[in-house]
Amino acid sequence: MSATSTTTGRYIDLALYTCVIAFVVVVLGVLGGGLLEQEYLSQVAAVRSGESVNLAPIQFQRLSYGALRLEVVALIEANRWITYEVELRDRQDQVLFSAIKPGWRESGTWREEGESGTWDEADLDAVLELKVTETEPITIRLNLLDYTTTNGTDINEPATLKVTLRRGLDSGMLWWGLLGTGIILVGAFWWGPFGGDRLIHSLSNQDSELVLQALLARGRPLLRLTITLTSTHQSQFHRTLRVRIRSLDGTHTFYTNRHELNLSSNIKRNEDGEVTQARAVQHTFLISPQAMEVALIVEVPDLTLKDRVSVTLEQGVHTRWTVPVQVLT
Amino acid sequence: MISQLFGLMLATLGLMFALNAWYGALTYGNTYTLRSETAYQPRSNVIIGGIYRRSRWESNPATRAQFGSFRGGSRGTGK
Repeated sequence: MSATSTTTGRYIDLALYTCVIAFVVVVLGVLGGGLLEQEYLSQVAAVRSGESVNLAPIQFQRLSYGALRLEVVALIEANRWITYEVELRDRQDQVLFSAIKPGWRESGTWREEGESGTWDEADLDAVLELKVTETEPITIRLNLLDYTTTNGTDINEPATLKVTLRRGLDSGMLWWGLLGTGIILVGAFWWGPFGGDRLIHSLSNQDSELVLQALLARGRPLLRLTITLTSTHQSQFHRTLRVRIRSLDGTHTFYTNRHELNLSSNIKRNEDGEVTQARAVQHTFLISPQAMEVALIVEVPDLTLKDRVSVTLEQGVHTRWTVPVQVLT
Repeated sequence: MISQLFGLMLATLGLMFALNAWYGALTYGNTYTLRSETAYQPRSNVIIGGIYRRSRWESNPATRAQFGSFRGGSRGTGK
């Protein structure tokens, strides 16, 4: 009797894919959050120093989701300083909120090591995010408190302030979520798949035939047989591996297979070009339909004195994706 | 078993991160409300969002109102 070959996705690790789903859900928010954005106002106002301008009252709405984002930016020429105040006033002309923003824009030229160019830097914008508990008309008042050149000379011309009011999501929360779920996803794929109890773990560097025993549990848990051969041999990079699983009394053979191990694809050498380690790993997934005690025989007929064989059998493991599996019959 | 619990913990953590991100994004959980029917308490009635850069607004010297607190009338005292 021998094993039946098939493929299965039954043992795919759901924890891994839950992490994938969490990440994708946040990615969708980051990419599609802009679709939920809505602009209520985009207006430019000219304000003279020491004067105020009231924008037409806007209906600030109580929102089912998101918040209002009020952005004010001063559009001024280079080498000027500006201080403006933004007030939100209700229908009784009571101040709900006010804040002052000192802004500046400067430019110049630079020279360094024979090269030169121009620079232009500014800090002119202010952002306010807010929610209201009831829908009501609110007036945005802009006060220009100070408008000078960089050397302090007053400028007797109006400054331009651009006001934008829009509704949107708190994208900052989504970016933090993206970071968090991304780290968890990487960790899940690094450490996963999760699960598995070790039934056998054996190391040998002398025997070309290892005979090990294991008690397989009922309930069709997935078994993973991992055979690792490491060698420091300088020229032989090919081994033959034979694996058998049989009943303890030797009357039934449940599984037998032969693998050709190629160690040349994973070789580490030192500075002198000597092989310090050559390695080959053979993974086999198995399913035992019933509880039984078995003997696992691992043979490496061409084992050299510089080889070491590691055999590990785990039970109840999960997989990242669909894998080929041998059903013991 | 420990490995499975660790996987479960990671999955739960991932879902919590995603749900919290969406909940926070939709509700602007870090943003205070501009006006409330309850008593005006400087930090609970106002405004400022989680990603909001405080340095961008300065306190109003005319009223000594701190950033984010109300100014004027009975709407709030500020500090």
